[in-house]
Amino acid sequence: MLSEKELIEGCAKGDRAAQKALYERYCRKMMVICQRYARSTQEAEDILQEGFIKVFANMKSFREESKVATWITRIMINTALNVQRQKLYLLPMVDVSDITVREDEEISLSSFHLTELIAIVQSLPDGCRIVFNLFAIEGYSHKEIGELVGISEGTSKSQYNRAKSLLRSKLEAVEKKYEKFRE
Amino acid sequence: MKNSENRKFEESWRNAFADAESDPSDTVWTNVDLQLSRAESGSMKRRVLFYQRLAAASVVFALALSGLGIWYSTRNKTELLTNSLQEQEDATQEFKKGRNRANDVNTNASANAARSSGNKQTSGSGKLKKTERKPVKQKNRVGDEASQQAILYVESQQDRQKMIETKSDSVPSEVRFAEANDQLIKKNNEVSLNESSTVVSKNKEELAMNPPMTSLFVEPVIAQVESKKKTKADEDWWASLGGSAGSYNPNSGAAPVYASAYGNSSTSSQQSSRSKAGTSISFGMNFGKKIAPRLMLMSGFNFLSQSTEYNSNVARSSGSNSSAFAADALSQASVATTNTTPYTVSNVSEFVSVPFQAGYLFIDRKVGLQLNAGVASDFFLKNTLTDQTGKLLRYTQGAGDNSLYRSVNWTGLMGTEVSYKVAEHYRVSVVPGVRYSFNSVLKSTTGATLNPIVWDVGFRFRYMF
Repeated sequence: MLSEKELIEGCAKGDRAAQKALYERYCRKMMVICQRYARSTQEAEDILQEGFIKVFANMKSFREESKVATWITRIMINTALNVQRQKLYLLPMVDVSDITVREDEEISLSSFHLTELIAIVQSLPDGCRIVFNLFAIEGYSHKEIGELVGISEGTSKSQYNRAKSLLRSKLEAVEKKYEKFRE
Repeated sequence: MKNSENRKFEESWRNAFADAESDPSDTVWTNVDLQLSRAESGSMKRRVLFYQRLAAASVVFALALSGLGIWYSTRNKTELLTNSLQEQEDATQEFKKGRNRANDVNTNASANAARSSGNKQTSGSGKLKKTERKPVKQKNRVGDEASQQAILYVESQQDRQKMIETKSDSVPSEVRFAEANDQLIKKNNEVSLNESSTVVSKNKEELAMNPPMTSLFVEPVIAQVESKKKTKADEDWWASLGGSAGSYNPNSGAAPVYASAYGNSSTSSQQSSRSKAGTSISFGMNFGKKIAPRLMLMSGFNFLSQSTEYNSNVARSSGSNSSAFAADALSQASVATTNTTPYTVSNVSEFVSVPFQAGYLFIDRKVGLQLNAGVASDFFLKNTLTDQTGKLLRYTQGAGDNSLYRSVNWTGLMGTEVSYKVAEHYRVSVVPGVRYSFNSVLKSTTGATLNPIVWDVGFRFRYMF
């Protein structure tokens, strides 16, 4: 098995075996990231494909200042954002004021299967999904999200609150289904 | 409290996706692989296009340079001839004027002499003898004016003589003849000065009829003799080592040929796409002989490798193994094929090429320019198909009855050679050119045709015996 350094060097030289090895090592992890940002599995695969082509095309510029996994993740997120930006251009995000946020409720996701969670996230509107992923999972601030996506900080916050509200209601709906099934 | 609740919400989502993994479908890698192959062939095409344009630009540049050279030399010759004729005409007119003046003076002198002799005829014969010498004296006086003209001419001839003497120590026979001619004229003039005026005028008449050679008229003779000497002295026989690289276009009637070939294959999903351009590399030894001052014959032995790439999802199956498969072979009914995931095939054909070329030297100096044209016999060595992913076995076929390739092919060659003489016996040259296969390198039984065109730029290191 090739080390990470050997893989990077091989990919930089355009060695197809090294490229495939790198793809096989990271494709499953990256697929989940792409699924979170995409509306469907097909769209996620398109992002994954485009992302890996960018990875191989830019491997020579990888400086090893960060882990290769982090670098690939960043490329995948940027690729996903590029795809979503095109949609957001057509349907821009706006401030959402009619949201009641229930701050006091705890949620437990351990009972949910990964595919269910992905399906719930994918069912969010495009704007909400992007802000939710960037804020809740990637850990960006609303200010950074505003700069990344090209919206105001306030819009990012309201979109996130809307995402939270929608997620809670969707999780509850799924739980209710389970309860009915158990009964 | 609110913040901690919020953090819990986000943390629970972050944890849920922390080590999550999901399998993408196989088509993702297949598409990535194909796109990478396309990008590689695109960069290769760009490189090939660069060499192609460089070769074409070199040929155009060389032709333009040779055209300019021919025009310049023609213009110089015309100017020299015009100047020479003008000078001869001037000299002729100058002497005609001198002769006319001398004749006028002579006529006057004769008339005076006749008058004086007529006057003194009655006074006796002794006096007549005395008077007979007068016209001679007169003539000598008259001759002084004409002789001044002759002296001027002699002086100018002496200057020219000095110019010729300083030109070269080893003066060839043509120049010596010209000098001798000048000296003869000079001597004649000297004689004319010492002898009677009649002789002077006679010599001048001869000079007028045969104007003297000028230094300008002599100069091209020297240049011509020197250039003849140079071309004969060296570069008669030469041998060179060299190589070339450039773009290779298989020039197949690919679409109809392969489409019909696919028609014979077992499934409609079988397909191969031949890359339109590849690379050609050759190296070897050449030799040549100059058969005329500007004409050269050349031959040699060169190893020639022509490679191209294409994507395919067809493999040649033989037992438990599969090997890379040329689309060319699809027409062979006996070949068993199987479908595979798309892969990139590297197709390399190797030949030994024996060229026979004639070269015309436009410029034969320190920098040389030559136009070459001829034919080459390309002896087929082998064709190798390699799956670049390494999954399939390499497939090689040589020459022979079972081969898809013809054993001997005829190729037309054309190009220019720009050279520079780096030392007494050494010359380096850049040789841009084109080679086109007159016949298809594939046998007619395959039903396919391949008439490769190669644009390349070569480099030669020549030793001149």
